[in-house]
Amino acid sequence: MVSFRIALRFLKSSKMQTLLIIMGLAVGIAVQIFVGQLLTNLQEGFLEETTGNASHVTVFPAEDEIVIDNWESMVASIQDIDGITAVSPAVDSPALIVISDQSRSVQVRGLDMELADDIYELSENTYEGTVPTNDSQVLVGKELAEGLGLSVGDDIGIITPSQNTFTLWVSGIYDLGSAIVNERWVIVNIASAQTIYGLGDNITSIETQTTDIFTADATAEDVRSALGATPVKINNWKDDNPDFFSALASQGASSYMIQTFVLLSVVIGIASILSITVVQKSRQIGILKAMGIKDSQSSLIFLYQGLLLGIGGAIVGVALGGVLFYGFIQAISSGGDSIISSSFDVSFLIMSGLIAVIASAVASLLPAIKSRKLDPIEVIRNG
Amino acid sequence: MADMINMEKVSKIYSGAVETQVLFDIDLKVEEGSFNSLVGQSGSGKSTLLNIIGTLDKATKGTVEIAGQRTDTMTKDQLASLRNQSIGFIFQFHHLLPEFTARENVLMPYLIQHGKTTPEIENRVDELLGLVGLEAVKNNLSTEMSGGQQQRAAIARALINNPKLILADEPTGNLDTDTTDSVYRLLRQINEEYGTTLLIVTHDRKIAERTDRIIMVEDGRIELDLIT
Ligand SMILES: Nc1ncnc2c1ncn2[C@@H]1O[C@H](COP(=O)(O)OP(=O)(O)OP(=O)(O)O)[C@@H](O)[C@H]1O
Ligand SMILES: [Mg+2]
Repeated sequence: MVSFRIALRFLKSSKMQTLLIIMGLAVGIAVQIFVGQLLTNLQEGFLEETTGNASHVTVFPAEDEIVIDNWESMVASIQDIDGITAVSPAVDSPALIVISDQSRSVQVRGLDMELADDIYELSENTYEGTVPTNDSQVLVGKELAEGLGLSVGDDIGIITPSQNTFTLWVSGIYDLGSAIVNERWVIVNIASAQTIYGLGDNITSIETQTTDIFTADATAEDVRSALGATPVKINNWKDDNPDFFSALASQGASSYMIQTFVLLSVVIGIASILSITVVQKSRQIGILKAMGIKDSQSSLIFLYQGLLLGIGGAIVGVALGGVLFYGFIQAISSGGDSIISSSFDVSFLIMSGLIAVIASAVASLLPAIKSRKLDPIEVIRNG
Repeated sequence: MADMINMEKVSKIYSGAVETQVLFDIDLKVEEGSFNSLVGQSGSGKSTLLNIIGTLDKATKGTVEIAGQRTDTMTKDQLASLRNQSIGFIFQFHHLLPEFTARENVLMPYLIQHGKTTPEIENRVDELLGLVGLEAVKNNLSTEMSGGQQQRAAIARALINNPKLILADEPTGNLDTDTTDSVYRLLRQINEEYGTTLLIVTHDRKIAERTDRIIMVEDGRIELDLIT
């Protein structure tokens, strides 16, 4: 208790020095929070951008098959798996669109509009018209519509690989955020696609989304066991895109490196300043020891100082880092949407604050130990 | 009466570039409840002797007992407790903590022992500050007080824990005759009221003559031991 009082008073009586240490610590923490939160949000945005509108675990026909039958029961059992957030059956096949003198090769996607919404957010991403509501309607992408001069209400002709021709009515235009997808996907409902390709009641894949793309491989295993012996092929996004994940991992590692070194330099700075305070306060420590303060109590004075500085630095640093980060995101996204969100991970902020407090407590260990060695007689004898 | 201090064959040798012996085989007993003065020329070894008695310094040879307890074999923590609870120091260079006010400095030995204050101890601090005549400056930082005021604050600080033994190294060194006189009377009052044992180093003949016993040190030896 007496140690705490003395620590507090020492800090108060050298305000400038206290302020400088707190600011030094705060700037370090702020940079650490800025870098950490920026990278986390960047990765999240990037991941969402890349996998948010993609199938995480996909069920395909067995090697020698081209379709999946009995798919309703499979959809039902996949829906029951933990970690699966969306299940959507699909019928995919290539086709050619011909409009007057132009033609485009596209992929006709037969989807269940309601189930597919959970993956592709079709209704939300349809910016003109609506999603198909009957078998003769089609939803086309932004770039395709622009390239072919299509608008809602136009008719388009589709030629299948087996040379059948169908005419569909454009019910809406979507934008899924990727020009490649927008150019290529021509979306109809399942029944329509089944008719066009003569598949009867069969489909060509079951697409899903999971709560966590990083465990998509494990979820794929769960799907496998849920489907039992049914002969199907199951792919997952994680195994299909190993480079993407190793890029994320190394980016994450470099972020941790930066954060660690920033904190390390801050800790070294505090340790060196606190070591100087032991020398500055050696007279006081000597007097206190002569009056009967124990070595452990004198060590506590410096530990408390480190702790108090840490708490001060953490509070200012978290606030500063927050403002810095929020301002930065606002500035870079002023032109339009940014894939980096300005949201904060509260537990990360708390962690950073805690690390600051612990780090400066650790930094005060050296001066705390040094203060034990101080012999009061040196001070008493020499005035 | 029992001995408050019992030193046997105490020597002090500083071993630096050259070895200097400053105390030679000192035998000294001080009775509990007595009021003693330690006199001698500058450099004769008075402070060294006092610091060894006060456990701040260690004898090179010999044994030291305070209130019947051997101090030369105690641990650092035991010594710290002994100093805090049983010994009141008034140092030659008064040694207040500059970050604290006069009042807080006086309270400090109590805080070291108990961690927190009570209304009783707050009253006692004010009483002691009154005794040494510091009411007017009690909330001044020690750096905002005159040398004499600092010395008086140091005296009040030495008294706060009701120590059994008070060791004072020239407690009236910086004081005018009137204040010197009131400090002497204060110390005498404490000696009589609480039975506190006092050992004070002084250059002031008049003060020394008013104590019960004068111990004179010369070149690290007790030359004269006079019961007045
Ligand atoms: N660390 C040291 N190393 C060597 N010699 C020392 C040391 N400290 C003190 N001395 C010597 O010990 C002797 C006694 O010193 P001490 O301080 O006890 O004298 P004193 O009687 O208190 O003098 P004063 O009246 O001036 O305060 C002196 O000669 C001094 O030079
Ligand atoms: Mg001296």
